[in-house]
Amino acid sequence: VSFLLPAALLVALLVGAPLAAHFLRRGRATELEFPATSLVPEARSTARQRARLEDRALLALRSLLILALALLGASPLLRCSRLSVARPGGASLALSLVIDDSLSMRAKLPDGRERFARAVEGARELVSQAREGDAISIVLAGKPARLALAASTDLDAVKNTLDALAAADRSTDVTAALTIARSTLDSLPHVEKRVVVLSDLADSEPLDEKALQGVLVPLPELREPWQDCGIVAARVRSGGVEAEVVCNDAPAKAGAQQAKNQGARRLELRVPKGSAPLGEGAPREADGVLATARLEGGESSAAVRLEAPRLYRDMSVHLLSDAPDAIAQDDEAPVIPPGTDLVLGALADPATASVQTGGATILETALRALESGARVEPLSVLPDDVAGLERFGALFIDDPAGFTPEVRGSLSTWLEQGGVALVFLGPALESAPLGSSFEPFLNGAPRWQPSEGGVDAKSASWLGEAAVSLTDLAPKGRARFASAADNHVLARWSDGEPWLVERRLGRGLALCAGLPISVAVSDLALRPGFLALLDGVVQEARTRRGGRERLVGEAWDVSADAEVLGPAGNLTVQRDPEREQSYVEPALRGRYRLVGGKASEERFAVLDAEEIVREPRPAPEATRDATARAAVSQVDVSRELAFGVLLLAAIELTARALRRTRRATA
Amino acid sequence: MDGLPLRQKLDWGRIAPLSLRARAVAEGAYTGAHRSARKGAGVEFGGHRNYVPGDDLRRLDRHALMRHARLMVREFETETERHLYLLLDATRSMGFRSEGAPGAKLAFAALLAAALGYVASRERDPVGLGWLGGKGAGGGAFQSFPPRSSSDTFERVLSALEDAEATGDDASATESWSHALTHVGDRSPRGSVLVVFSDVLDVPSEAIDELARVASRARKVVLVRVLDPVEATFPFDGPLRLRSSEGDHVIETDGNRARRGYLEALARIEEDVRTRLEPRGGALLTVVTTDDPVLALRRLLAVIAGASLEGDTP
Repeated sequence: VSFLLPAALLVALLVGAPLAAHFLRRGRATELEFPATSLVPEARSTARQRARLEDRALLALRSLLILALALLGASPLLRCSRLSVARPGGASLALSLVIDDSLSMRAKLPDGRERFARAVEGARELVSQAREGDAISIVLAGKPARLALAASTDLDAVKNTLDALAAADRSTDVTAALTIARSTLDSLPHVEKRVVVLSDLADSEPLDEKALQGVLVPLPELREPWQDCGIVAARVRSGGVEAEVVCNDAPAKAGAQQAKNQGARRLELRVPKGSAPLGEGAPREADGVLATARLEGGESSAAVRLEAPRLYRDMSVHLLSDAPDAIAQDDEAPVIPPGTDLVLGALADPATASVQTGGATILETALRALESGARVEPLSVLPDDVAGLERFGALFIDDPAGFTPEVRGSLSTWLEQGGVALVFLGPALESAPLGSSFEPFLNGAPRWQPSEGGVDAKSASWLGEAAVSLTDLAPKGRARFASAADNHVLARWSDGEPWLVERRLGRGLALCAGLPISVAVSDLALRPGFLALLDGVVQEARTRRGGRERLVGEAWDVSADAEVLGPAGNLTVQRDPEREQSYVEPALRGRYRLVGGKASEERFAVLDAEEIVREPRPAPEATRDATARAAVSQVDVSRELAFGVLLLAAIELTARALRRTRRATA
Repeated sequence: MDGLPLRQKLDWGRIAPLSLRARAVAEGAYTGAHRSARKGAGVEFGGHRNYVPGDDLRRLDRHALMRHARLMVREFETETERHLYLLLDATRSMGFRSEGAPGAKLAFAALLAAALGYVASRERDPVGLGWLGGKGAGGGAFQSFPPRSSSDTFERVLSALEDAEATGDDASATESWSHALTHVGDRSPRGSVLVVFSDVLDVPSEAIDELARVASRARKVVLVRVLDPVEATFPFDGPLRLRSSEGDHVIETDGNRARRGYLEALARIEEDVRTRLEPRGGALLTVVTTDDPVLALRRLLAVIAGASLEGDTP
C-alpha cells in the first residue's frame, strides 16, 4: 500500500482518544487488600458487566472509524492483482484492448478458469478504472482479427461489448489485431494512447518487436505453458474413420516432467440414437460406441484409424485422456462424411494443354501443385444437367469452343448455387459451333486476335507480387471480349483491353481470362501469376461452395436469406458491403447446416492444428518495460474506504440507539 | 479507598509506644488484685462441707463432728498464683490496618495482651507468651517464653510484643496453632488462663477443637477476636477487586451487593466458634481496633473473671 498524503496518517494517533474516553467512563474497580476476602461472595457489578460487552464493541467501532478516516485522508493506493493503466498527469486515455479469442485461449489456468475468461476479466478491470473522457476500443485477435467495438467514450457500451464476448475455436492473428487496434486510436485526440494485448501470443510468427513498441502485454499467467491433446478433424476415409490428432506434449519437444505426465489416451467413435447410416439401411436404434483406438504416445501428430462395421452420418470422435488436458473443447469432433471435400473440375484438351512428355494436363498439374487439399477431377465434357456439376466447388475450363444451351443452363444454375468457374479463352472460340455461346461468362461473341503485349501488373495487383511475372507474356494471340459491360474487369492487357473479367451470379462467380493455358500460345502456365490466379479462384470456391470443411473463423458466403444452424444455435448472416455478399463466420468447430431456399447442405468447421501444438510465447522484451511502467496495478481505494467510513458510522449510531433503547426499557 | 500494601513491619499507628499505652490501659481498666475463685487449702476460713471419701483427713473438723454428729471438713479461700498465657496470632492478616483504624490488628491485640500482662504481673501472676504464625511461632525470631512471675516479666512481654511482625500465612498457622495449644495444654497448671488473640478468619477447624479441649481441662480459655473496622462492617461501594492478605486469592465483586453475604459469613464463623468453645468453658470476645482499649480490656477481664458476655459484641 502506498499513500498520496502520508501525513494524514497522523490522524490515526487520535485512535487513543476513544480508548481514553472508554476507560474514563468505565471507571476502574477499586483494588484493595482485604484479609477476609475468602468470606466475600463474588458479585460482578451489572454496570461493569454491561461496560465489558457493549463498550468494547463501541470502542472497537470508534477506533476503526478514526483509523478509516486517517486512511481515507491519506488516499491509499493499493497494489493488487487488478489491472490498471497508469495515467501520467491525470490526462484522459485512449485505450485499445486486444483480446485473443483463439482456441489456445481456452486452455485452463491452474485455478480452473479459461485464459479467455481471465483476459476478459482483465479487460473489465481496466474498464472499471476508466474515467469520463477515456476512449476505449475492443479488438479481437482470433482469426480473422476484427473490431468488436470502435473507440468509444461510452463506458456502458464497452462493458456491454465485453459481456457479449464469448470464447471461440479460432486461430490466432495478433499481428493483424494490433494493426486494427492502432488504427482505432489514430484518429483520437488523446495524448496518451495505449494498446493492451490480453493474449497468450501463440501466433504463427513471433511478434515484431518494432510493432510492439509501447504496447502493454500484462497478465503473464496467460502465457504459461500448458499440455493438451486434441482432435483437429475426423473424416470418413476408405470405409473407416480417420481422426487427425495433435498433441503438444511429445517427448521430442516436451521436458521430462511433461513426458512423465503422459497418460493413456484413447479415441472412441460414437454414434447417437436415430443417426442415418452412410448408404442404405435403417437409422441407428441406440447410442453407442462403434470403435475405439489407443493413441500411441510420443507423436506430436497422428492420423488414427477407427474401423467400424457400419458407419453413420452423425458420428463423432471423442478423445479420452488420463493425462492433463488443458482444452476440453478440442477433445470431441464430428466425423465429416465423404463428399464434403472441395472438388475442382478441370476441363482441358490434352492435345493442346499438355506438355509434350505426356501425363496429366498442365491445368491438373497446376491445381495439384497448389496443395490446397482439394481433390482435382479431370473432365472430358461439361455435364448438361446441374446434378452432374453439384459435386464440384470450382470448374476450370481451358479453351472451350463455346457452351451449348443445355450446358449454359446447368452452368448458370450451378453458379447461382455458389459455384466458381474460370474459363481460359483460346483459339477454339473461333470454331464455336452454331448455337453455342460463352454465356453465362460473357455476353456476345469474343474474337481471337493477335497480340504482343503483356498484362498490366498494376491492374492485376490483387495477385500480389506474382502479378509482375505476367507483364512480359507476349502471347501469340488473345481473346478480345466483344462486350465487357456486364462484367467487372479484374486485370487488363498493357494496352488497356480486359484480360480477366468476372461476373457474379447468385452466390457464384464466373471468371473469364482472355488467354488459354496452351504453351503453344503463351507461357502463361509457367508463370507464377498463373498459380496465383488459380489459388485465388480455389479460395473463392472454398468461401462460396466447396470446401464444406473449413477452418473455424473462415467466412462462408451464403445467400442473404440463408439460415445457418451450428453447434451454438443459429449463426448471424452478415453482409459485406464491398463485395455485396452475405456471409457467415463460424466461431466454433463442429457441424453446420446451411438452409437457403430449397437447398440444404452440411458443412464442417475444423480446428487449426497449430492452435493446439503452438506454445504460448513470453511477452517480447520491448513490451516488458512499458508494461511494468504503464500497467501499474495500483488502485485508489479511497472510494471503498469512504463507503466503509459511512458504514461504520451507521453501525455506531445504530449501536448507540439500541443501547439507549435497552436502557430505557431497563 | 486506596489499596493497602502488605506490611512486613507491624503498623502500630496510634497504639505506639506500647509500653506506655499498655500501662495506661491497665491502670484505667483494673486496679487491685483479683480474688481466687478456687477454694481449698489456704489461710482464710471459707466454711464447711460434708466429708467425702478421699478428702484430706487433716482437714476433718472435730468440733463440727461433735456439734453436728457428722464428718465435715474445713474449707479455706486461698490467694493462689494464676498462670496467664498470652497467645497471639501473627499471621499476615493480623498486620492489616485499614484507613482510619488506629493501628494494625496485631498492634491492637498486642496492646490488650501487654495491658493484661501488666495487670497479671502486678498481681505477681506468672505470665507467658506464645505466637501463632509469624516469626515467633515454633521458636522463630520472636521471643516466646513460659509463664514466670519475676520482676522483669512485664518488660519481657513488652519487648517481645514490640518486635512482633505479621508474617506467617494460613498454612503455617495450622501447624503453629496445633503446636502452641498442645504446648499450653500439656504444661499449664489447672486454673491457668489462656488468652488467644486472633482475627479467626482462617483458623482451621481442628484448632478450635484443640482450644476447646484445653478449656475443658480446668483452664480458662478466652479467644479474643480482633477485627479491623472494615472487616467488621464491610463499608465498600461499587466495583471492587479484593486481594487476600494470605495466599493469592483475588476476587472481583460489588461492595453493595456483597456486603450482606460477607456479614452473614462473618456471623456464621462467630456462631460456630462460640458453639464449640462455650460448652467447654471457653469464651469468645470480639473486639474492633477502633474500640476504646480500656473498655476492651475491662470486657476481657470480665470474661476472664467469668462474667456474662451479654452485650459484648462490638
